[in-house]
Amino acid sequence: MNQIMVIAHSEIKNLFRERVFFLLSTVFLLMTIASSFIGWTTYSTTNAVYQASVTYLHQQGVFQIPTNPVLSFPALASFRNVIVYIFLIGSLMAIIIGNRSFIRERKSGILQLLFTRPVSISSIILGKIMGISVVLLAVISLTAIVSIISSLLLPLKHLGGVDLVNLIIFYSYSFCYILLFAFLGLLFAITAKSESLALFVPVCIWVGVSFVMPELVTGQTPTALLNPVTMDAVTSPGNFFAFMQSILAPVSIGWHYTSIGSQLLPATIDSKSTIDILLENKNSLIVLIITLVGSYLLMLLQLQKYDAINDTVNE
Amino acid sequence: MNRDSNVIISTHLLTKKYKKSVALDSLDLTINKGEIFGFLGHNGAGKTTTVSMLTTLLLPTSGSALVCGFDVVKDSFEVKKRIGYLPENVKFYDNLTAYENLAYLAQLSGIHNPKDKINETLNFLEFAGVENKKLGEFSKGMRQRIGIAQAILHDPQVLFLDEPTSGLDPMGIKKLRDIILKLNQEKGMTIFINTHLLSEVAKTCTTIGVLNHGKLIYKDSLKNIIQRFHNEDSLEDIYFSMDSIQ
Repeated sequence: MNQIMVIAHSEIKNLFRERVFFLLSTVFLLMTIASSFIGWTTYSTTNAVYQASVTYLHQQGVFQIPTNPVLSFPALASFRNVIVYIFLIGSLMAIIIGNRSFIRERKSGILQLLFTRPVSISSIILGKIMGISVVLLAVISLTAIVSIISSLLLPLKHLGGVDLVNLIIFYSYSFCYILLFAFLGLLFAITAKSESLALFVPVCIWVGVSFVMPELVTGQTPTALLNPVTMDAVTSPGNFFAFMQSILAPVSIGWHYTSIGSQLLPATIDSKSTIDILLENKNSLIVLIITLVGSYLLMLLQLQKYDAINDTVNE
Repeated sequence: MNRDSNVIISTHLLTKKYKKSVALDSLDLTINKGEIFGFLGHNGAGKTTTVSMLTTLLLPTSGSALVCGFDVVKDSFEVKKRIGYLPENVKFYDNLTAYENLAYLAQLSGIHNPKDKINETLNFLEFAGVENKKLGEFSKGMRQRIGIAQAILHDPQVLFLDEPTSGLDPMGIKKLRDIILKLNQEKGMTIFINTHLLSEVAKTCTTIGVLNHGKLIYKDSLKNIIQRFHNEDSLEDIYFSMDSIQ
């Protein structure tokens, strides 16, 4: 096994023994299951009421019946709550995973042993990233499986080929999005002087990315931003918000996420094609990739200067 | 810089400065293969700083150091392949077993079949049978032996021990002393010990260096030191005589 794999393996083993990680991923999964259940009962109830109404109207001799409202929503609309869960809890969970990944090493004191081994800094970082990625992928995949199973149980709704492509793209994008927060957690766990600061700074960034920037860009209230129904509503901002939008919109990664997510999991049948969505949002995807690469390079730079004896990053 | 094939550690004007203090001041030191070198000095003398630079954990402010013929800054990767290191308070993942901790560090040292090597090392240290216990359940002495196990798993040429007897009971100290001598005699390892315990130095080391406020004030073989300071009653008296030499 090469050194990157050894570190990744150790990372996975250690993470699965962390209570905080278990707690957060369980909450995340339970919310997905609850959301799927609510979606399923809403659809089932609507369909059952419709069917009962049709039977009643037929008995009354009425045969001109409106279309089933269930048919007016695409199958993917039932997944829209997941956008909010990943946007909020998924990213927060990723910060904690990234943070624990290095804080654990700092607290255990094993870094002195690790840094006297013939292992390069890039192998250490890549091993950690690989371990974190496997864990995040496992959580995201479980969420996807739960959502897909629940969608199979929906009346009159079946996922088509295009829907599956959209789902794969959405979950891949979600993975990259939360990976960025794991990177932030890891970066500040390397650089911060104290354990609390190592968590506080990325959480502040998370608040900025998830609430402040999208609010300034769209002019919407946080409640409206987190509502899967109004997520893609178009607002007509005033001068201040128009100005903020021109500055912040290109780098507002959180807003890009909810925006692309709601386009990939549309609420109405007359939605854009997947290719059109990707082409329209290519700049947002490039910004995410650049931020990921930038964070990785920063981590390399900071770990290079890390002093394991004094547990600090040299200036 | 000395590149003699018999020399395993050599430093030239090795210096480490912090913002407000000089931790190590122009250290010139040569240690030959097969020696057990005792680095003596009071707390804060610069012993740990020296070992940290020789084990590539700290970058020197100036000067240079060669370990096994490789520069600790330019060829740190090569140095790391050839050294073992036991920090003063060795720490591991307490929630993992001794085997899991050792296997992790062994694989990072390039050992492809860690199981056999771990068994061999624990047998050598007469410490077999603890592999499946979690490190969190270990006493200080047991932890120290696992610490030595991780340091010698990859058969290093030089073993650095930083205050290895710190916190050990008399039985633990004796066991550690026996291990040090066994490693030197049976495996031919050069051993660099940081300590402030004169009694330990007298029982294990072949050569002694004395560091005071970041400066090397004396270095010689134990035999020569005892001859030179034959009027002193104990090694402790010798230490204080050296202190007054500077």
